[in-house]
Amino acid sequence: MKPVTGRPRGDHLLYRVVWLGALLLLMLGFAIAAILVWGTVKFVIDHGLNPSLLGTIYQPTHDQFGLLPFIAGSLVVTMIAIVVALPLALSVAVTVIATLPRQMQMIRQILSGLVAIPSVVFGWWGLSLLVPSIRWISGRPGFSLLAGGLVLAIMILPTLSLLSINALDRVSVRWVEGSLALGATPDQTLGRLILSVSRIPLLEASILAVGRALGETMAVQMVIGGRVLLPHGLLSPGATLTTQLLTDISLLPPGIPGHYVLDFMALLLLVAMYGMVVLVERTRRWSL
Amino acid sequence: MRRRWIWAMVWGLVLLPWSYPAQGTTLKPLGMHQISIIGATSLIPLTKRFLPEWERRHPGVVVSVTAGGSWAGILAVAEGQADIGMADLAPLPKRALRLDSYPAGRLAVAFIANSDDGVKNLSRSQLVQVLQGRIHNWQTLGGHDKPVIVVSRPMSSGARAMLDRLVPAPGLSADAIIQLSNGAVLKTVRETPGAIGYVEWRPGMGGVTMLGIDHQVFDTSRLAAWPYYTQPTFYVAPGASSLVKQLAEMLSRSPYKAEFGIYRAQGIPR
Repeated sequence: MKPVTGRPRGDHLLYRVVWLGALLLLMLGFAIAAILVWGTVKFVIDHGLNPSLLGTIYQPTHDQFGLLPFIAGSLVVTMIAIVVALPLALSVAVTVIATLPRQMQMIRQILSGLVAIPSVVFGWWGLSLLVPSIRWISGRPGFSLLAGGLVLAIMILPTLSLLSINALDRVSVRWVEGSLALGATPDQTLGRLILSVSRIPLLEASILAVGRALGETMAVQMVIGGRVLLPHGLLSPGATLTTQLLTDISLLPPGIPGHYVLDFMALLLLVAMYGMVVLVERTRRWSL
Repeated sequence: MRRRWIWAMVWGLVLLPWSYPAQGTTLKPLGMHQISIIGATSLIPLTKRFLPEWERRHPGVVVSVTAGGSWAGILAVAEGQADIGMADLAPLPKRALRLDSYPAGRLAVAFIANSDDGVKNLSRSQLVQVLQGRIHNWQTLGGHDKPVIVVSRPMSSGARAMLDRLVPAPGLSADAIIQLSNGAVLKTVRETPGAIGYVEWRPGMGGVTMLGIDHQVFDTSRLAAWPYYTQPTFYVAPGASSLVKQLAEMLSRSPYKAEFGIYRAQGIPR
């Protein structure tokens, strides 16, 4: 029988179509990044790259662009989301792996369904339930960084749970059985084997969740309060880079003086997201 | 030969978007005439209420409506990216002065407070001080012992533009909670003890105290006498097609305006 050499005719065509699709996606990504970089360059030319950018006064129509309240807001809200969601997601994953392995497929399907819920639904839930609860407990307005962080925590919980289940599910059954056969208790096997072996994939899942939390806009905007001053506590209203972008895009559409600060803010987010991607890649390399 | 056809189709699909001209009015896929409307959220309900009937009378015309704020509406029309802009800004940005305008009337801006605040009337000076964040507790104004929480719209809103004219420097309290829509402001004020805000009034708004200013009660049967209002207007480019101008005029004269709180006032010729 004659060996097949080269690529069959149909494959060649399919290869080119797929290549074209990938090229278009790359071009789109570069175009978006280029627009943001261009806007940022214009912003720097117009206003300079000075310490006032890390100031606390933000009045874009009066050439005051202190972005510290939004950077702080983004960091705090993301931190709250991760601190709340990670232990819960880990609990879901451990419960599924250790006690409900037969229902794993069904639970994965349910979690995938929850991932598909639009963020505005979470925002509405936060506005109707979370904000009044925080108001009732604290006696403050309820619109706060805490509300934003908790809404985000609930939002990223299904994604983080799915990724955590996948991470724990990768641990070989033989290793688990071996650990138990050597006399380790189920708790020792869970803590010293399963969680220990899965720490890199779990870290990877957490970083992806941080990226998701950092980029979320609508749900957070509905509950955070939109205050443009530096927040002085978790119960204080505030804003994040994304929520302020959403608020100001109507005021400063492209072509209006001051619009370029929005490009600068978006570029900051893009760089932060890229940092997350690099971190995920690094953690993958550590795990190999 | 077959492969060439497939490649031609692929390139055709890729190049199709670039073959469209930038002007919204001339975008005619499948022989349809498209009209794009963008701008103030306060005019979206009125526009959406009116359009189905108009589109039935104009088969072959598809109208898209996008919220984006008054500024974005005016800018989009000035730069030819949309056909009709909706805005309720005053004073008008320079770009709007070159456009043809179709005023719809007036939209009253009501000052609202949470029902537990215990205040039903404020002097104009008190209102300004509250909005500036210089009065911190309702007790100061004879109300209950509750901290004042100012709820506002973003700077792109027409109602906010009116408020910024009312409140002199240093302007609205930087401590204010910002909500993106009229409905969100109403809900927040209704549910937050101590809250005060302002909304573009429309029938059916309840559960809050409508504040009187300088003993002038907010009376929905005498809206024309209320001194706080915005002027929602539809804008088109001077060179727009007659169909676009006709639609803008019809929208500004829509019989449904009263449903959304828009009323005629002296000095407005429509």
